[in-house]
Amino acid sequence: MPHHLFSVLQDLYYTDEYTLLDGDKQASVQPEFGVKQGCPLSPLLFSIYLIDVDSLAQGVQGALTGIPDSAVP
Amino acid sequence: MLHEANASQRESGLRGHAPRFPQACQWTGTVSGKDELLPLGRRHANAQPPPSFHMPDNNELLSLVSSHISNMNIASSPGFDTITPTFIKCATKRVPRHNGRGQENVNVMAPHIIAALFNMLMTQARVHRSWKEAKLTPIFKKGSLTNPGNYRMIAVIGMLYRLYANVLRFIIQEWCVAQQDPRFPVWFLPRSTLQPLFILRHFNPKYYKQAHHDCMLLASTSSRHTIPYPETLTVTVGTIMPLSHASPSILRPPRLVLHR
Repeated sequence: MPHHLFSVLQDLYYTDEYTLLDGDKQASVQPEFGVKQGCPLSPLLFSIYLIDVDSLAQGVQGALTGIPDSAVP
Repeated sequence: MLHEANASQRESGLRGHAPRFPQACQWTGTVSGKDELLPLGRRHANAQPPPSFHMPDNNELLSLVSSHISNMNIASSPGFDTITPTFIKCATKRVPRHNGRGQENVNVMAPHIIAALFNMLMTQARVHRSWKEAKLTPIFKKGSLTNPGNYRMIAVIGMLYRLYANVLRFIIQEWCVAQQDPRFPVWFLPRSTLQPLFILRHFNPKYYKQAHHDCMLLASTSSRHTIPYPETLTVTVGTIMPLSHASPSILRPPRLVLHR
């Protein structure tokens, strides 16, 4: 991927947060993984991520999990 | 009093640029050598070298932004920046047509948006802080009103951010198409994100116990492929799927017979 596009994407996801407002009160959440909800880019990013999923699963039988070195047989 | 304090705190927090991503690079107008370090996806052995990448120039960006502005949904709600889609979409003036008679509507916001978008996208690789915050809204599903588990969270991002992301999505998608990698079209069809999972979804005993099970995975009419059929076949045959639960007969090499 072109390096510039990649850094644009990295910047979009750097220090983003969700804020819940209720009258005077507010609470914010900083997500650490996943794609943004409601962002038009998210489906495309997920598809690009899916391209290499089968290379993660090379020679592995059963289901993979997000944690390395752990698979559900 | 508390509300005012919170509001001023919020405003001061939202003002200005967001902290910059440390490793972000500046756009110098050319593709740098670092691009070779970030291959996306594994390459086929006989794949062509990817064509050179160019960010869209001002005219291309103008048509791109204008088309995305006209595609905006007026009914969608604004985020924290309180810019409604109506504000952007309806800011038009009537000018005479270039070709033919009559007049047409031309958006007056688009050049200003482009000036901002162009700067952020092409030169700086950074966005405004208010774009990084999404408004979370709990929407009641069903059951007890007092149980927080009965609410679904919906995140609403600012309208300008959505425009920016749409432009970015278009650029990335164009780049993916230009790669001419047969793996790419399979994975990002415009119709559905879960299209690749369609193959796995049909991978059940109901289908593979039948005679032509090798091709049943591909030949269902419900797939609605928009890409050339043989390419799908070559890609899918090369795909490794977990076969521990499949019948032994499916492990033999597939017969390349198409059943549409």
